Amino acid sequence: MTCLKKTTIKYFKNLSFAFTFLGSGHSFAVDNIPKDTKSFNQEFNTNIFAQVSSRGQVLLRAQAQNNEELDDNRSFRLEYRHKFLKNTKALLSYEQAFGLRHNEDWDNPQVTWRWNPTYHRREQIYGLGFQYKKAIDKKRRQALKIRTRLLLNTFNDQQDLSLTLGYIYALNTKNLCLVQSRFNFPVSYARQTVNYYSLYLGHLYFFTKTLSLGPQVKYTVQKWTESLSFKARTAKTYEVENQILSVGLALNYYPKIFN
Amino acid sequence: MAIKVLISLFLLFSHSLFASGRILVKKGSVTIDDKAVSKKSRFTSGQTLKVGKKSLAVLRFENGNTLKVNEETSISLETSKNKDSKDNVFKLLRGSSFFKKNKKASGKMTVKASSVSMGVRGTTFFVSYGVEKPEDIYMCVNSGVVAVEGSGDKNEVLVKEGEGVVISKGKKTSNPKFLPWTKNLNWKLSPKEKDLINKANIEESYNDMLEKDYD
Repeated sequence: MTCLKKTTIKYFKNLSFAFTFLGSGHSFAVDNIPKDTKSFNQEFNTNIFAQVSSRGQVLLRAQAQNNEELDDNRSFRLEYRHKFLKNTKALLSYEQAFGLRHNEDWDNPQVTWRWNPTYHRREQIYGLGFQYKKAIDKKRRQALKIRTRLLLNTFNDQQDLSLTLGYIYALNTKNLCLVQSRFNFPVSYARQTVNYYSLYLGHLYFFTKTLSLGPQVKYTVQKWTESLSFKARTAKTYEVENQILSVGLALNYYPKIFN
Repeated sequence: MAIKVLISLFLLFSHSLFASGRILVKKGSVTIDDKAVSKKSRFTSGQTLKVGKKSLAVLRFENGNTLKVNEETSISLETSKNKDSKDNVFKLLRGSSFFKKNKKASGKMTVKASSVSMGVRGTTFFVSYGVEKPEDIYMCVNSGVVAVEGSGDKNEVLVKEGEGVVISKGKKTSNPKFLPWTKNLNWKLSPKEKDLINKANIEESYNDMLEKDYD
């Protein structure tokens, strides 16, 4: 009897261990896929638009974002904008960014799958694009804007096509509202057609003709899919998204170097 | 002898007739040398015309030149050193006005503001002085060409139709460029027009959203 009892107990112990093992293996299968997240961020933008010639403008931009889910990121951009046709500009930019995330950053260097920290990782992005604006009322208080840029990130040689559609409304000479949507189309490196889109609403108050400041609100959806490395190791695919609501401030300065 | 006197008197007054204008449209508060005036009052050399808030005056000169003086503007008609001169020389003391030179008129039209002189080579242009900033002069041309020479300029700057310039005190006249906001100005100068008041704001030149970027 005692022997049967011991055997039975041992059997059930083995059985429970087997279930536990299988169960934990199942939780490993979930843990190697990132989760959808929602976050609330703060963002601050400083733009200096320096008019350097009758047709040329240089933009210096510093952007900082405090991210709840991702790494805090910051970027610095130098861009030349040249007006070559009425209301049409060509754009050429160079940017250094820190804290960006890519599909390949989902990794398990030791045991646990996680997003690699990228706060200190510097990436260089070159951009080429065009911008066109059109007034939609006679008093030129409302205008539509379209901007497209082809971006090359030399960190991972990934290319993106960025499209921005905007609506500008001047309430009066001192107050201006900007509403715009931005879409990012990954070129040849991701499964999605669009892996980023945002809706931005901003207001600028012009203290003087060269200095403005205003609040901004932005809703963003960023998507990630499995990297080639992940798929090779796990034979799995996924698509996850990070929904971000960010609030912040934009400071614009317009020095006139050229008379 | 009497005929000679009459001819001399005619010549004496004819230049002043050419140089003087008559008020064709008067809205609100309009004074000449601080005296209230009415329609058909004369504005002659050496006098200063002032238009008050929410007011307007349109004048036509004997040589066919037209002047529309906007609200809160003070402008004087300078006396020419040459008695026989058929020139109109205006000095914009403050505010803004529209000027139209009669193509067939002999004599020159010159507009001065601060230390800047603008020679009209036909026909219609707008000048604003001290409206936004105390020493800023805005000038734009609707038709014809205007030659601008400021104290900071080595040579005169020709401003063509559709172009405008800004002249800040002591600085060079800006390069003439197309200023889209000038389309909003009320260029009507005929007394027969019903709506003559200019409502376009010079400040709007600061925020031309097609020229300016915000992100």
